[in-house]
Amino acid sequence: MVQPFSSPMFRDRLAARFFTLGGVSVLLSLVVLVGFLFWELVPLFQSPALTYLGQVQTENDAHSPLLVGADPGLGQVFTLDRRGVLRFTAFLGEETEPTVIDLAAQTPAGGAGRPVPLVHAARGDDDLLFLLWEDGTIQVYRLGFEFTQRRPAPPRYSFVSQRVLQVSAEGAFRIGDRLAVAYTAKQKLTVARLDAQGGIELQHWWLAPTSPRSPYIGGLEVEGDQEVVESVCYLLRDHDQRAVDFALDHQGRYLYVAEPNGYLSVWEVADGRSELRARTQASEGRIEQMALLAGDVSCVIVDQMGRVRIWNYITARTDADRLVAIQTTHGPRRAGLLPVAIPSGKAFLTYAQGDGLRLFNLIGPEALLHEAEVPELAQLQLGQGGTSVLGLAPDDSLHIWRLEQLEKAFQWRSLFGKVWYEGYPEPAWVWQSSSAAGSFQPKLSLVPLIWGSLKGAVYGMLFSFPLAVLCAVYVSFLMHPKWRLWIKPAVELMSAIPTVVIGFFVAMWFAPIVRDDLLGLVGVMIMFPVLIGVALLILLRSKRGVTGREFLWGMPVFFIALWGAFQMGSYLETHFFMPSFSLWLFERFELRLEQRNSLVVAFGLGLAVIPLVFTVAEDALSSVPKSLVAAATALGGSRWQTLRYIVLPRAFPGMIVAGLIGFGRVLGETMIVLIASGNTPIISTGPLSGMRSLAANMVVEISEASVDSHLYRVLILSAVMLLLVTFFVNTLAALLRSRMKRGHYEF
Amino acid sequence: MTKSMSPRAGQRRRRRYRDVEEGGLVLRRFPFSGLSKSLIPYQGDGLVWVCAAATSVVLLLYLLLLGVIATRGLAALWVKPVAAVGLIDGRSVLGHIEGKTHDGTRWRVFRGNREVYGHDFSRIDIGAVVSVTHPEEVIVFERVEYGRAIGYLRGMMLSGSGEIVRLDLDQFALRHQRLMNEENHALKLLGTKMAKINQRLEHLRLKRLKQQGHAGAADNAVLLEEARMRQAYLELDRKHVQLLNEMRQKAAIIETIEGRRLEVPLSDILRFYQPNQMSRLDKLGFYLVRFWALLSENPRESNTEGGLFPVIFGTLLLVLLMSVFCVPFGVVAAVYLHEYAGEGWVLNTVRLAVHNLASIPGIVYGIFGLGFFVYGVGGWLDRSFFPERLPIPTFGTGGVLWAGLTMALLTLPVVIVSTEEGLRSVPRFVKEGSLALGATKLQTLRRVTLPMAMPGIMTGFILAITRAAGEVAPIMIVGVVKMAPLLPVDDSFPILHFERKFMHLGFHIYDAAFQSPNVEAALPLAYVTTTLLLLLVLTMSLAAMYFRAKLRERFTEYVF
Repeated sequence: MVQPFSSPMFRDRLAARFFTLGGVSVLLSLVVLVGFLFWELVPLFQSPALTYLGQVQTENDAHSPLLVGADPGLGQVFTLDRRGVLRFTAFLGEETEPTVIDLAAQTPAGGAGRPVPLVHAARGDDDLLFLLWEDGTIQVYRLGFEFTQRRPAPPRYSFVSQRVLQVSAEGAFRIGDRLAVAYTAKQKLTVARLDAQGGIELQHWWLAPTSPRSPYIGGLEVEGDQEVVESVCYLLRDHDQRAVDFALDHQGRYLYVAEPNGYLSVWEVADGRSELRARTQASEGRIEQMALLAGDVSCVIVDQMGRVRIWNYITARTDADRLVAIQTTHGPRRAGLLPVAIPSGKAFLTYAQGDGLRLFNLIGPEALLHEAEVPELAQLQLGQGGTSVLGLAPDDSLHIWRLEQLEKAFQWRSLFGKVWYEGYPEPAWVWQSSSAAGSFQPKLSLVPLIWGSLKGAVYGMLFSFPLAVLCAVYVSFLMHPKWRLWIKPAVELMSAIPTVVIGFFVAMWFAPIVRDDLLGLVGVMIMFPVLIGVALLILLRSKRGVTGREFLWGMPVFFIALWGAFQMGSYLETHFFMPSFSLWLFERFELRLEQRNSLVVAFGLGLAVIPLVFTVAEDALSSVPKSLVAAATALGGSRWQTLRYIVLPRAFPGMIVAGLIGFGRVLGETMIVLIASGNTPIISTGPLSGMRSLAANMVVEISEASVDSHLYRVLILSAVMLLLVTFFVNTLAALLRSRMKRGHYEF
Repeated sequence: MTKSMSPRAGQRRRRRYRDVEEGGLVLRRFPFSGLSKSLIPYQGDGLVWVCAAATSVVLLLYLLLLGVIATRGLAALWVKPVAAVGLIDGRSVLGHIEGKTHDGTRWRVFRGNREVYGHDFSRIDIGAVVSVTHPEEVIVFERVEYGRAIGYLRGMMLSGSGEIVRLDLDQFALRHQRLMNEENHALKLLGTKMAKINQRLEHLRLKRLKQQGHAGAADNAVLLEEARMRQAYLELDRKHVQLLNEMRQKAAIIETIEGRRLEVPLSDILRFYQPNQMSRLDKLGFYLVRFWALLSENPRESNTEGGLFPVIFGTLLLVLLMSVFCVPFGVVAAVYLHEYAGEGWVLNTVRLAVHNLASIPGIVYGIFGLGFFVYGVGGWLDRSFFPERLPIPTFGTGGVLWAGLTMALLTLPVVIVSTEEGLRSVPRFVKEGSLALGATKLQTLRRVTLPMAMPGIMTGFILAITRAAGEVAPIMIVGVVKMAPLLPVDDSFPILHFERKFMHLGFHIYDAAFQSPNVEAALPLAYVTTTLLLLLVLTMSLAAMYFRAKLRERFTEYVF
């Protein structure tokens, strides 16, 4: 009777299928692991996108609009003209009746039936709208698009606007004046005016909440509740040059003034006085335009030749205040270049007729993107949140682009190159992923981390490699077999010690020694070899039979060295290096002893990697054919001679392999470095300073990185780098090893 | 220059020259060779001594590591005497003398009574010490809150009236015992009931949200039950508070050495002892009690005190999950590689890659686990099956399941490599003999090859466990936490809650020693945890070595 399902042959075939399928899928899962990391890396290499969405015809009045804007979803766009009419038109959103708000009616003059023209309108942080009327009335509105969302419907924005302040200036504004406004709620309003003659006048209003009401009692405070406490109006002092343009920062603290001869000066105008802080020749030609980037540190200057340069005003504690040019962009050299700062990031757009739009950030001089096909524009402004670009053509049609993925711009320079960051005196490699400050420029240079990894690995190997290899040589070749039987597995067993335990031990036991008894530690390093030499002389003279057990004699010597060195260390410290050795080091060599430093890390990494290096080296040594050793001994070679001329040359590749494997291991070691290095991403070679390694950085930062953010991708990149490097090192080691073993077959 | 030498010097020089000739010319390259040559008959032994020195350093370093951790870890649970230290200014300090500070001028004294002194340790100038006595009647109370109290028992408060009853320690022990047995039991029972209702409430809330999401309005029955449950909960809560208040009114009056009286509710007292009256044997017994408490109790005071039960449980669960995922798959892959896959450069490359994957840093696996399991698979599960709970993630955040899977991937290469090693150690002729007798390949595999390769599989299994128990970096980003309020396994449906976060021995060390707000107080426990972890890992590794040795021994007789 045929029993197909229980026949052995059938089962055998089934099993073959099962194992093949299972095996291949398990191996594939490992491929998936590597593949997934690379796949996750792909979105890192993206650039900002500027998509042309279309155009809207704005209402054609006598004058072109002073201000244009759009909500973040681009549902509606608005224009504000000189008569103070705010007009909303649907763009991507549902078609509705255009909303028209007459802001002029809400001014005192407008209310009295004598409307005056609007001189200046500007947008501030948090969607503030500043309106400066000809009769000197200054109004601050909060222009908002309320975000209403109900799942699963798409988000909808609705317009709200609220007046938060109205003051009137001394004197009237004239059309043709250049004006700038800075406003901090409940604290200060500053208006700077550049008149046609080039003189600059400043006015401050200090504000206070009308009622000192706690926000916790009585619900939310109403934003408009503020009154003017004091106001002052003055001219910029000692300013003999006529100004061409100026820029005021958001706090109303610094005023950047451009002069016709190409000079740029910075004035502190915070408290009703003006004081020149720094002045420099910023351009060879006349400065035409200027713009302050988000955060008010970087000032973009465009001169008459169309050169774009970014200047930083640096207030250094040790140095005099100065202006430094951190970058000159590679843009088109065209007259009439228009820069526009993007409020959501450290970036700006430029527009030049015939060249189109270019997007720059502070990382490099090259444009992040270039949009050449751009109609002729008279004005360039940004929508709310900086997510859209609005260009107003001379025929009053509004062209709209969407700007995306600005913060995810990928640049090799930002990861590996030296970058001149905002507020830094010189270009540098810096890792600083986040900070408490609001407008922060992320600094994601991997160089300090790679440096930290390599430094830790090199220091660790310097400590462990000689020890492990010498130990392996001794155990495998010189030690008495009776002892070897126990010592070899014991050392190999140590590879099982979890690294967190080693890190804990090193931080709790070794770090205090380094901190308090550095001198003693140095003493041990000197004294131990010396004492070993002395012991050698004594023991060898006595011709005691110690062959194969020399290491037992080393132990008491080591303890004597430890004890002696620390005694000597404390003696030296109290007599020569008052008050302490670390202070002396700092004063003499500027070496700052940090609590968590490379010595501690090296010690920990060494402890972690010695068993591994030992095992591999020992394996290489014991795989040298015994026949060769026997031959050498038979020919009268001493132990050392046999070792040096027969065993070591053959096992030499094995030592290299051991070094490579050990290096690969310490490079990726995480817990010890995390615990013992202090995790400060600095570049220094000194053994007494800390560092941050790639691996430890991942643990530190990954909890801060939101999914799909640029930081998250950069961390994945560092994981991939680590993967590739260790994979390469280990492959190299494996190839070397198999070559070496093949070489031994001839015997 | 040679001419001006004295005859003796010339002789010496000649002798050395002859020696070198004997040893061979090349010897001159070595700095030590001359030295050792004149001393013992073995040439180059000086360098042997350098190797020996390195060996002793290596051995001593590990002895030091194990010694320091073991002594501090084992000593942490031992009962220490309480000393009353009299100072020059007439004040006295009561506590365990823990040793000297680094500069040797002061003692570190553990005083306990955190609510009085603010911190556990204080430092006293040795120069200012007049007397050190060990008062017999001092009692140390281990408490739920504020750590240990050290002082004298002055009585007991039985009700809220403030009346203090004087009683001796035996009577006190009796009352404490009774309270712990009866009233604490009642309280626990109530607590369990409340937790059950709470879970039911949460379940109902989610059900309601689901219904609202689908139909726009919730079922009436659900709303009704929710209201009823809430009522029941409030009722129980009132009872609970009442019982708790009653219990807390019974308090021990403990007087510190300064004469300050502490009222410590009896329910807060876990254990008490008089260390200065205890004999060695008593201390040993108490050591065992404390050790059992360590294994069975929950952590207290943000991991600075209490037991390690959830920590050990989490570690074991992680290891178990890891083994379930990795061992069968690893063995199948190894069998495929060794028995079924065709030889060739592809296989060699795959083998090399698997070997190399075993040495990829654990943190890389952690990043993979986070991106793939937590954000990828977990996020998908949340969106498809638990949309009502969003934005609170269920599977889309680190948990013991993802940690187990990550660890399984991390240890998979280890299992594959050592299983293959085991398979390779089975002599060819044994397999061929089986095949020649007419067995199929599967039969050979099941009856001959796999049983003979078992030590290899065991080695891989144990090595995987060792790695999973010791590797901390990857699990730090896929689900381990400082304090997990709920175990991943409990009696509520569906018993196994693999999406929950867990605690881990390795992370506990890191947390207690480096992240704790009160590091000095947490250190003894950190040493204990370290000792436990070391013990676990080293025992496992020893077992692995044993199996590997067995594997090597077993078939040597076949090999020529």
